[in-house]
Amino acid sequence: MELVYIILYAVITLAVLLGAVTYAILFERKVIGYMQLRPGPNRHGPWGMLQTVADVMKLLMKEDIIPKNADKKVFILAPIIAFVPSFAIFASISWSDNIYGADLNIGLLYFIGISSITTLGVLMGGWSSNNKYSLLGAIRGVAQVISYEIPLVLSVLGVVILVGSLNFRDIVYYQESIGMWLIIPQFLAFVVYMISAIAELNRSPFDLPEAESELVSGYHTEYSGFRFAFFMLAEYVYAYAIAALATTLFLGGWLGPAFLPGIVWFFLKMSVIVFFWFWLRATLPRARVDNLMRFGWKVLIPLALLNIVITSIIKVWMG
Amino acid sequence: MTPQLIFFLILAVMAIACAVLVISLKKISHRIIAMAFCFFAIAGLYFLLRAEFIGIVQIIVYVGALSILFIFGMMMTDHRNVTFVPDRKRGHKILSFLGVGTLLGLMLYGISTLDFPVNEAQGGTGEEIGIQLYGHYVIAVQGVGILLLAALVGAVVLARKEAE
Repeated sequence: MELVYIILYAVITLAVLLGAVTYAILFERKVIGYMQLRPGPNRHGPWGMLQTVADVMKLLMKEDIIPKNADKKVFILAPIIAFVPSFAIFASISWSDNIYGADLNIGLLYFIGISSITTLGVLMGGWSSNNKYSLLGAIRGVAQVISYEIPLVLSVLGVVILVGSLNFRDIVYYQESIGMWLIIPQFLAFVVYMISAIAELNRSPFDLPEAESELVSGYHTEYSGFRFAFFMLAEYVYAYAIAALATTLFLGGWLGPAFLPGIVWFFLKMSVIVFFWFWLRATLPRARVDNLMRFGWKVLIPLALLNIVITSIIKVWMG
Repeated sequence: MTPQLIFFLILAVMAIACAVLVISLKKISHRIIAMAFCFFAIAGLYFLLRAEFIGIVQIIVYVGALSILFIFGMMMTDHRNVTFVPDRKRGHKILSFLGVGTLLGLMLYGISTLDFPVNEAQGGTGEEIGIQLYGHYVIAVQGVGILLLAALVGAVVLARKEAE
């Protein structure tokens, strides 16, 4: 019986995620459109509501092309390895006081650990395509993700030190007990987290691995149709996952005035963060690869370490 | 069959199959992927044993870091299409079979005579491991850390020498 509930939860989460990703893509195009003073997609359905649905249909009905010289087995496996961990992450997220999946006592570590597997999928995809642009994109992507994973994890550690637990629910309950969101005592960590999250997600202005103007969109150049859709899906699901993590850690999770249920607050906070990323994409030009690396190693990591030191001193001093 | 047993069987078969594939596959790239899956299955076994912390550390270190390090090594050095064809000498085969058979026998004997503690308090949580590592064994941890740092510096020195 328990197994049935687990499967049901997973299926519902997947369905909601697919719908959410479809509309995230639409909103991204709409928001960028309005910021550039054009209407964005508006032909399919009212307000362009069916644009992404049409796009997805097109992707699914495309011919399945595998390049002749590609390493076939790895080529087929790569999109799956990229997508599965992005979905597995959602098992640990706690949407509201009583809607949650697995209540892991190492939730945060689970999140970070599982998400690091996607790098393997990206690398496999870029490398098995047997194409210079794909390989370059994959190497860039992995170098970027590995260097920005360090400040991301270090910035999160400040929260862990304050709360004294890796459990997502404990972290939210702690914020309830001290009566403020952790963004206030951990503001530096929040800034470092947001910047390195953008780099982790390969979003603009740090979208170097899939820079369409120089790399012909990087590691998924050779992918088309269904497999390409998987890579895109993984990317957007990660955007939601990282937004959910930021909501839990810094913005008080499901906490909020009681006139709305907790899960609505959670989604609202997540949407604000996702909107912030669309906003950045519409306004900032792409960073150069050497600047990106220098910024990561020389600015973000020292700042994150400084935050850990300050947080530990405060924690010991406060008792 | 309980769900635990079903998952155990799936994971165990996956781990063994991937371990065999690491040896039997031809291309080095396929071997590395099989290795990553093997590590992943073992992490799943840790999860089944309720040692979540060890399981997740296994994923972070082995699947997330070590496999990618291997792939980078393969891509950077020109080994992408190297294949390994084992030599098929009869004497070699018999000798290796005997050696592996002896090892298996010894291990089975060792496992069968082991005295497993049953229903002992679970000690696999992150908190307990942290207290042990940074409380009771802090000097050992620091020592290992310095040793690893020395190994890292040594590797950099060696690599630079070769480049020159």
